[in-house]
Amino acid sequence: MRIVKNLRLLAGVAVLTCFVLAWLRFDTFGPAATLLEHTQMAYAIFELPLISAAIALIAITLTTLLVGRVYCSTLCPLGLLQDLIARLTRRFNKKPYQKLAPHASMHMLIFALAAASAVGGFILPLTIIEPFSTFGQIFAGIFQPLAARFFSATAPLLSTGINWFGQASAKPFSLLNSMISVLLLAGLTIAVYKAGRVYCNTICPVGAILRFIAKHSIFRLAIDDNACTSCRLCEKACKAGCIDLASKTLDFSRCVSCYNCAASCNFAAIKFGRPAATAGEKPDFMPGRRAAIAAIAGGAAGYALPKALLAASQSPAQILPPGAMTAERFYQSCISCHLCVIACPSSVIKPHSTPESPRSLLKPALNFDLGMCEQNCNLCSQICPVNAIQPVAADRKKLMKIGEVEYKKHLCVVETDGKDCGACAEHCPTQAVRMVPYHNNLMIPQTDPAICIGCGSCEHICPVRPDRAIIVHPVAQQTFIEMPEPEALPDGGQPAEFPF
Amino acid sequence: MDRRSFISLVSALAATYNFKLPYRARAEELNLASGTAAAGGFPDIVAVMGGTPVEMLDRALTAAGGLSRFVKQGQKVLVKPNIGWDKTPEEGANTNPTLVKHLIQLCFKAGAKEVNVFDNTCNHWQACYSNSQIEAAVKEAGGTMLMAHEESYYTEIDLPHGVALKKAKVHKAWLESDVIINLPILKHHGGARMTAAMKNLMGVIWDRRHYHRTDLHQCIADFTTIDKKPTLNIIDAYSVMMRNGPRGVSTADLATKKMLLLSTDMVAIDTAAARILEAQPDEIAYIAMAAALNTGIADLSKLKIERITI
Repeated sequence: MRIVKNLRLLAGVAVLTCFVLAWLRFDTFGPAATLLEHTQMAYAIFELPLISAAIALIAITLTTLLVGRVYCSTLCPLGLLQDLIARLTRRFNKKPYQKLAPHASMHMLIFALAAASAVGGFILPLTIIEPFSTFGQIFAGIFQPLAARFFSATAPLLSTGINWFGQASAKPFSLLNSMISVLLLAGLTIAVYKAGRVYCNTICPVGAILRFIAKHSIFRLAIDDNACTSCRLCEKACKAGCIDLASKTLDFSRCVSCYNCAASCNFAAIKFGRPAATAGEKPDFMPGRRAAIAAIAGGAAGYALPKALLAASQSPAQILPPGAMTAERFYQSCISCHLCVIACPSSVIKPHSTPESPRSLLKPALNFDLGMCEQNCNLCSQICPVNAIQPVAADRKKLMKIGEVEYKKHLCVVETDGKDCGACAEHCPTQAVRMVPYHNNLMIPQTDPAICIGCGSCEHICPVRPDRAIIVHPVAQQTFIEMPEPEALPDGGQPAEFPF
Repeated sequence: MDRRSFISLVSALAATYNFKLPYRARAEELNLASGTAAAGGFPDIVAVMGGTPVEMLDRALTAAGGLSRFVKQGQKVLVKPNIGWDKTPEEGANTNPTLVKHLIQLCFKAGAKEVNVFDNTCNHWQACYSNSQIEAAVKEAGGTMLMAHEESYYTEIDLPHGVALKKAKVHKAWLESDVIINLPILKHHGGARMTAAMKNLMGVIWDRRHYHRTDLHQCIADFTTIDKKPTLNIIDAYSVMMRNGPRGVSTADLATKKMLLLSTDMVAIDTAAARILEAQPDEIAYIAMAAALNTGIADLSKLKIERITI
C-alpha cells in the first residue's frame, strides 16, 4: 500500500504543480491549464453535451465506482491545495486527526441548496463552494497578482532580453475579489488545520456526488479485524476522519483515497477488498430518510428563493467578456473560476468591481484601465471551462460587438485645449472613431456606433483624467457588426517620379 | 546557505534593483547628434524608388557612403522599427520585417557587436512582436528583441530645449546604444497626420498619453532635441497607408509607392515623406516645430537630395 500512496503523492504533486504554474503564469503554462480543465468535474457536468465532457464524466464515475474517490486526491486542485496546507500547518498542530461525524444530511442539504439554486438561476452559492472555482478564485485574487508583481519586478534584474520571467504584466488587484479570496483561503486553512478534509465531506458539491458513488464502490478499503491491533495510527493519519476504530470501520464513502492510513499501518491491516455483505456491518452512513428530506427541502428552497428574490438580469452594468452574449445567460453559466481573469493577455478581464446584483458577484467583467480587449484575441472564449464565454472564432471575434462608444466632446483635449490628439481614433480597429476636420486646422473625433465593437481601445488610451473623454458602455446583447466594403483609394498605382 | 550569506545576497539583489546610474551623454554620443550638414559631400537625403525594399535599402546605403560610415567595429546598435500594432506585414501597419532583417545583417557585417530591437507597442506587445513577424526576422538575423512593456525598462531624462516636453522616460536601450537606426514605416495618422521618422520615436518613450494630453505636435518636435539622436533614419515607403492610419482598417487603405528614404536628418526626411503621403506642407505641425527648434532642416530646397530610380 505504501507504493500506492507514493504513486498518489507523485500524481498529486505533478497535477498541483501544473495547476499552480498555469494559474501563476498562464502565458507560459496555459496549455497545462487547458489540458487539466478537461479532467474536472465542473467541466464534465457543465459541458455535458460535449463528447469530451461525457468521457470525463464517465471516467470519473467509473473510477469512483471501481476504487473510490481517487479524484479527490489526484485531480481536484482544491483537494491537493488542502493537502499542501495540511503538510505546511500540521507541524504546528501536534494533535492527530480524529474521526469526524458523517454529516451526511448536512452535506446533502448544502449540495441540494446550491445545485437547485444554480438550476433556479442563481449559481453564486455553487460557485463559492465548487472546488475548481474556489481554487481559481484563491489564485486569481491573491497569488496571481502577487506573482505578476514579482515577475515584473525581477524581469529587469535578470535581462532585458525576452526570457522566462519577463513575460508577465502586472495584473490588477480587485479589492472585493481579493477579500473574498482571502476569506476563502483563510476558511479553508482553518478547516484543514483543525479537521483535515472536512470541507470535502461537508460542503464540496463534487464530494457530495462522489460520496454517493463511492458508497457503492466495488473495491473498498477496509480494516482487517484479524490483523488490526487497534493501535489507532490509521485513525490519527486519516485526513477525512472516516476511520472509526471503536467499531473498526472505514467509511469508504467519505474516504478521499489518500492511502495514508494503509501506509501508516504496521500490520498491513488496511487493504482493498470486496465488501463482505455481512449482517454485522453497521449502516451508520446516510440514514436514507433524513438525507432525502434534506435533499428535497434544500432543493425546493434553493430553487424557489432566488426566483422570488432576484430579478432577472437586464443590461449589465459592466462590459462582459466577448462570447458572454447576454447578462442573463452569462451570470447563470459562469462558475467564477477566474481562468479568464488570469489568462487575459491584456489584463482587461477582472471580477466585477461593483456588482450590480448578487448575480454578478464574482463574475468577470472588462475594465480598460490596463489595456483593451485585443481585436485579434479570443483566448477567454477558448479556455472557459463551462462555455459561459462561448467559443467565438478568431475572425468572427474581430467583429464582435461587446460595447458601444460614447464621445464626450466637452472633455476632449481638442475642444478644451485646442490641440491635436487623436489617440482614440489612432487605436480604433474599425475606425468607429475617426478624425474629421475641425476649426483652426484641428482634427476632432467623430463616432459611428454602428461599426463600434466596444473593445475599449479608445477608452484605454484617452489621456484625459479624471473622467475620460471617450468611454464604452455595455450592450444588452452581444452581436456582430458588419464592416462596410472599403472604397478604393482615389489614385492607386506607383508614382512615376518623386513628389519632391 | 546560512543566514548571513542569505541576508547579504538578498541585500545585494535589492541594491542592484534600486541602483540607477544617472544618465549622462558621453561626448562621442553628442557628436553623433544628427548632422544638419552632411559630412564628406554625401547627400542629405537619399530617395530610392522602384525596387524591392531590400534592393532600395542597399542602393540608398551605397549612395550615403555605406553602412560602415555609421556603424563601427564593436558597436552596440539599436534598430527601432515601427512594431506598434498586432498586424501582419501585408497590412502595412508595421515596418517590413524583411527590411529589418536585412538591415540587422548589414549591421553585423559592418562589425556591430550587438543589434537590439524594441518598440513600446500599442497593442499587446507579444502579439505585435510575433504577428508583425519582426521578432522572427530579428532572431534570424542574429539580433535581440528587447522588452519595452514595463516602466522599469525606462529612465527619465531631461529635455532642457523642449517647449512642452521637459522630461521623458526613455528606454534604456536607447541610452545605452552607440548607434541608433530609426526604421519607421510611412503611414497616415489620425492624430499626428503622419507617422514617419519623428513620430516613430514615440515608441521609445514610456508615457505616450502625456504627449496626447499635453500637445501632441509640440511633444513630438520636442523629443528631437534629445542629446542622443538617431544616427540614421530610414523610411519604409513601399506600401503606404494613405488613410485610416496608423492602424488601418483593411489593405484597401494601402497604396504601393515602392519608395525608401534615408537621411541623418529627421526633419528633412519627414518633410520629404509628407510629400509621398500627399499631405499639405503646413498640415503636419510637428515638422515646422522641430525645424524651429533647429533639430533639422524642413526646407528641401536647401538640401542635397539624391534621387535614384531602379
